Amino acid sequence: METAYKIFDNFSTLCGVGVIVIDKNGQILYASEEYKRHIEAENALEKVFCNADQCQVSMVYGSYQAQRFGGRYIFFCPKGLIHCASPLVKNGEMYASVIAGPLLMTDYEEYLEVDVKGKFSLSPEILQELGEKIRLIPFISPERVQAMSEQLFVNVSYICGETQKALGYEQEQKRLQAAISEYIIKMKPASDSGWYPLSTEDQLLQSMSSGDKFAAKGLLNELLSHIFFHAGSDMETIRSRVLELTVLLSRAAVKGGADAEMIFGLNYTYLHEIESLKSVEEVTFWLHDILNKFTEFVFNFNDVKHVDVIHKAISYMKSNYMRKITLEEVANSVYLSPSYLSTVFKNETGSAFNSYLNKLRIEESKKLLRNQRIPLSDISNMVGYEDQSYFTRVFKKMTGISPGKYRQSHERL
Amino acid sequence: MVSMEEISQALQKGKAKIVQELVQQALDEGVSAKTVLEEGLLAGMDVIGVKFKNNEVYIPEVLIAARAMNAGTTVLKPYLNESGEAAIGKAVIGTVKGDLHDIGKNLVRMMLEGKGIEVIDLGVDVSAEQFLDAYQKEHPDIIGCSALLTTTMSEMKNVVNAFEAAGVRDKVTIMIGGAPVTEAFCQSIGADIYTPDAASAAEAAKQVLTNKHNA
Ligand code: B12
Repeated sequence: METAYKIFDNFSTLCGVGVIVIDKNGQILYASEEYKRHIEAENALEKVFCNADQCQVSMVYGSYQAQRFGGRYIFFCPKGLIHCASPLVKNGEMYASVIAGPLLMTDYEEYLEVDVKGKFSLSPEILQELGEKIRLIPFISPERVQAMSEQLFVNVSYICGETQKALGYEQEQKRLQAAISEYIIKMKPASDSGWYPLSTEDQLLQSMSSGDKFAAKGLLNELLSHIFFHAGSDMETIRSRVLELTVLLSRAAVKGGADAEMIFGLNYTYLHEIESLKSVEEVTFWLHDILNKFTEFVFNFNDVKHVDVIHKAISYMKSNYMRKITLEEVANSVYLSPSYLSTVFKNETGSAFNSYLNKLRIEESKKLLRNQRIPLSDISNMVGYEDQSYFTRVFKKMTGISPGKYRQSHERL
Repeated sequence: MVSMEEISQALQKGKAKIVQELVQQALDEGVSAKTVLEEGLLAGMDVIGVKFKNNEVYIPEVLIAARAMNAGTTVLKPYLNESGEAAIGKAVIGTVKGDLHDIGKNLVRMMLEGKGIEVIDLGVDVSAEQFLDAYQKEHPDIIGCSALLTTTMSEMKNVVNAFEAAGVRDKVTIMIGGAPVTEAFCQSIGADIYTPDAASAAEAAKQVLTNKHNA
């Protein structure tokens, strides 16, 4: 904890904002020097508000909100002061929490007018005193508060290490739900006849087949909003619509060139999971996860700029891998220079032209190897390798075993 | 003359005090409370909502805008009162468990009060049990639930279920609302009334009470 406190102390000094660490009951475990400097102001306010208990509760509450919404949360305490919370998490559970604050995002006069004078009638002397003390509390613009909250989260993640991934999951959840809520709000005024937009579904399947993950995700959210919108909270209906979507997505992935066996294998596992989905959130995250996996099999790249060209090049390779093909030849088929195609190909798929071709051939050879009636000696030729020993070497390098062993291991099954 | 745009701008910047002053001034100049609410305050909140969605502003800006919104509506409140007579019925309202958005709920409360309905406001983060407890204590005619997150909407179903389990489902009218809530959702969870905004919520509530009295 010592290192952690050192980090918070630095953070506190850097921002000019107090930092405390509290346990799950709101007891203070640590307070930075900067925090101690604001105490006088807090005490003066306390005399007016008389709500120390409620303030403590709000700190704990804010910390739980932070854990729920991706690891950070900004909130007002009952005194109307701003605080930023980030939970310290171990094995997915919060054991303490870091709070930066108090601070003000509106100017001192306004705070006094609206939050103090608007709620209590006070003597001029007390107001005078408060007016002075309150200036001990830092005034920070909303932009800076946002930046501070994000940096606090980074520090806390550094300290908790392992938990960052879990929080990433929550942030992803949050983003997805926001997108869905947006579609629902958009659809609401129309309150259409309840038709599910088949054209959107077509578009989704198309972007799946071409590996355009970004577009696919947007369209998926749109469809999900329709499903949630019309099914309301009826999980039975939602599940059956989701089942349909999963099957359609898998077909689209295969159409886009993903390995059919692989996809249908995955599908089998997925379809069993559907029953266990209990909430709209789970359904959304689950489908996006599937979409991610499926599109990865279609294409292994994120930032698709030349989808179409690469897609064409790959389908050319897929229909010609059984004979000798060259980069020149493929480049010709998509009207690009070989060197340009080579760069784009590498950038977009993450593997060089030749290694991609090898991968493709080896995958195909596996299918042939599993068919025991085809002589081993014919296979290298059937997938476009002129030299059998070269084929054996590549196969071994990629799979870890020789083609013969591979065949044997499938004999017994 | 105060323009509604000025009010909207001040709200977006989170200037609570200025919002209050401008709202008061507009009302004094004879602008209707409805106009101030819709074209000033809510218009400003809409802009913030869109900017938030587009990552042009972040939570801190939304927080202070929301604070300004609530400050502005307190000034409006006395002007929304239409009846002035004795209470025509009682409602218990709250934002459901896990949800802290209260601007919409506060507006619904004000509009109901404006129609002469006594409102008991349970605040935010209200569990199904708390709604039921309040029912047992207060015996309201209407229960109103608000939810702004797609992930807390399902809490409304729990509220309906709790009333069913307690055998008092047919004794109250359950009204639901909030940005992601829809008519279809309302039907699917077995609630009674959904309305898209606070004004229509108040109309519907009044209708419920009138029907009840005439029955
Ligand atoms: C202001 C705001 C906040 C403020 C709330 C302050 C406050 N005191 O309420 C603060 C900053 C605290 C906040 C926090 C968060 N927020 Co917020 N927030 C908003 C924002 C910008 C505006 C909401 C609002 O007040 N609108 C104005 C009011 C008047 O409208 P309304 O609530 O819809 O109410 C009207 C009707 O719906 C209806 N109505 C409402 N209730 C009821 C009830 C009944 C019975 C009836 C009949 C009618 C009815 O009448 C009202 C008046 O006409 C929205 C954006 C948006 N588009 O809605 C996001 C939004 C709701 N927030 C969002 C998020 C993600 C969050 C946080 C998780 C962010 C975070 N990481 O901290 C937290 C969650 C905190 C929590 N546990 O609840 C998301 C929700 C996405 C989702 N999952 O569904 C939104 C949609 C923003 C976005 N696009 O991402 N938020």
